[in-house]
Amino acid sequence: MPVHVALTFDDNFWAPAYAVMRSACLAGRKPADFVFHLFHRGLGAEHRQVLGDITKEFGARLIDYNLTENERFTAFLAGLAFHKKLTNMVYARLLLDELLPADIERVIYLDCDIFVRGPLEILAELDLQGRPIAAVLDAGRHKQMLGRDFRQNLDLFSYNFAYFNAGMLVIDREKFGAADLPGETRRMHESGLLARIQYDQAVLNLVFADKWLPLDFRWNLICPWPAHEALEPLLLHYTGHRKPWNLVSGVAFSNAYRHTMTNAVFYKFWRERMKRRLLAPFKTLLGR
Amino acid sequence: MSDKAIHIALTFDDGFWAPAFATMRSIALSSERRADLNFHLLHKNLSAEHRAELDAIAEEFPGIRLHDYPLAEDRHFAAIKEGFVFKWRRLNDMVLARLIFDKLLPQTVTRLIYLDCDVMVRQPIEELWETDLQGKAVGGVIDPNRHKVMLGREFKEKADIFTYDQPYVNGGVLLIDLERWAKADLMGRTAAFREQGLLEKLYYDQDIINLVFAGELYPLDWRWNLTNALPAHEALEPFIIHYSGDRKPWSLIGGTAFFNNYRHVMTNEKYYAFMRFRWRRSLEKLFRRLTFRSARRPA
Repeated sequence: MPVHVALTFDDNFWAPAYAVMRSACLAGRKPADFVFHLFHRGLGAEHRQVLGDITKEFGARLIDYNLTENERFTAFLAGLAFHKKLTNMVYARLLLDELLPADIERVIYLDCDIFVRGPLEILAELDLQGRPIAAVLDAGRHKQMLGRDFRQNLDLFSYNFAYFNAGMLVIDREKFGAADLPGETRRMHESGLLARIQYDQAVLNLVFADKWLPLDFRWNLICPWPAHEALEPLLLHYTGHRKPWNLVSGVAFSNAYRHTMTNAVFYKFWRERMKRRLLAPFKTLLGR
Repeated sequence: MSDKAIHIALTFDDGFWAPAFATMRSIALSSERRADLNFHLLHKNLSAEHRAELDAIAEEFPGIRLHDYPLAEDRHFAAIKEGFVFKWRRLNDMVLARLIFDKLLPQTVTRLIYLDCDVMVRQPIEELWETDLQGKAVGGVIDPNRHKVMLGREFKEKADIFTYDQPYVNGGVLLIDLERWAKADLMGRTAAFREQGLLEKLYYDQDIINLVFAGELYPLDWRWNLTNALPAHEALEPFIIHYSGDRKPWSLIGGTAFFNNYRHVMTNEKYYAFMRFRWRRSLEKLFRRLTFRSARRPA
């Protein structure tokens, strides 16, 4: 039975996307059954070739969705204001139902700063108990929901509002589609509400309030510290500024992450970022 | 006070006015039974200005009641203190007040939650309040750092008082059956410990509670009192964060669990007012030292 996994990223994130897929395959029971749906805005040929190694190594399928050529996606974005954090790739997560092939009933959405350590088949076969999605409660939710002094957006959220982290979602296609996320997002935009909520995951939390299935925190451990290693987390989510692809990160499983990304990809990605960073001042000077 | 009232006691002096506020506000934010919340504030030398700051709780969360017990002005407290004829270096007014909760609070209060003022509550406090103590007198969380406190240096010093495997709770979060507390006569027992020559080895009221209520302690889930809270603990969704270590969340430098949240719970205005208060106090202290003046006596 195929395990469908959706990733949304741009070319700058090609190597972390590779690490997500490789970690999922390494931890998977039958990685040849994995199908990765890659939503992006076009990838460099060299980068796309590296991603293709997932198929060579594990037999998993990769399906590309270049959203720069997607009329539905472009139409959805038209007129929609862009929040600094809400890039158009984030909107792809909200449009998954419209973008995925019709025959897919269950999909696992993953952010690209994730490192999978448990078999995703467990999530693919999970009983969602009639809920549209399963996710993990976000430990950092209070500040995100309620803002400064926990006094903002009290008309939308309360302190005890069960607010999930949207970096890992187990999605029931039919119920997810029925929630009409594109329509809800547009309505939130038109009413001015979209500008008040800081993060895209607030949209998902408002739409799926009280309707989602909470999973054990080990299925989406945010801000993973080395002290968490002994708790055997099943999926690590490197939120915050400490990222495992940095040479020094101080995060849980930083060494395992490099070997999962593979050393060749890890250092190639590092060289690319260094080059970009060094060239950035000159580009600014040249106005490019 | 209604039958549904939830009673919470805090003991603090003027130096802890803002953390006391943060503790109360964290409870108010997370509780679904705000109208039932009764805070019993046993304080000493709390300035009128800082006492007024605490009223912001009742203004922001109507229905919450604050009850004051200014210990320095309380004749009843003074009389009890007077009756305590011996000296113990650890017996300050805050410790004494905790030992005699039953004598200071109204008799209608038969159950009490005691909280240190370096805690932040994240779970509805009513869930702790409604815990069935199963016939035990005091609910608390087993202290992970108990062995050094119980047994002292090299785990030998207090081996005549505690045993290594004895259940020992942290005194920062307690659910108390106040009738049993009264019957236990903690003051009398403290005097008896003195006669036995044990008192000087005891660690404040925490040791006394653990000795007196040995066999009557109900162990609460660790999440109700997470001591030495670090960022790695955040994912475990603790209910009460107890900043018991050296790192405090009101310092500018972080490193504790929910460091950023704490400032927003205290509110930014009070967080920075408290910082200025501490700096001013430190400067005054330094000035007094430099000029060989004795500490200013509180009014």
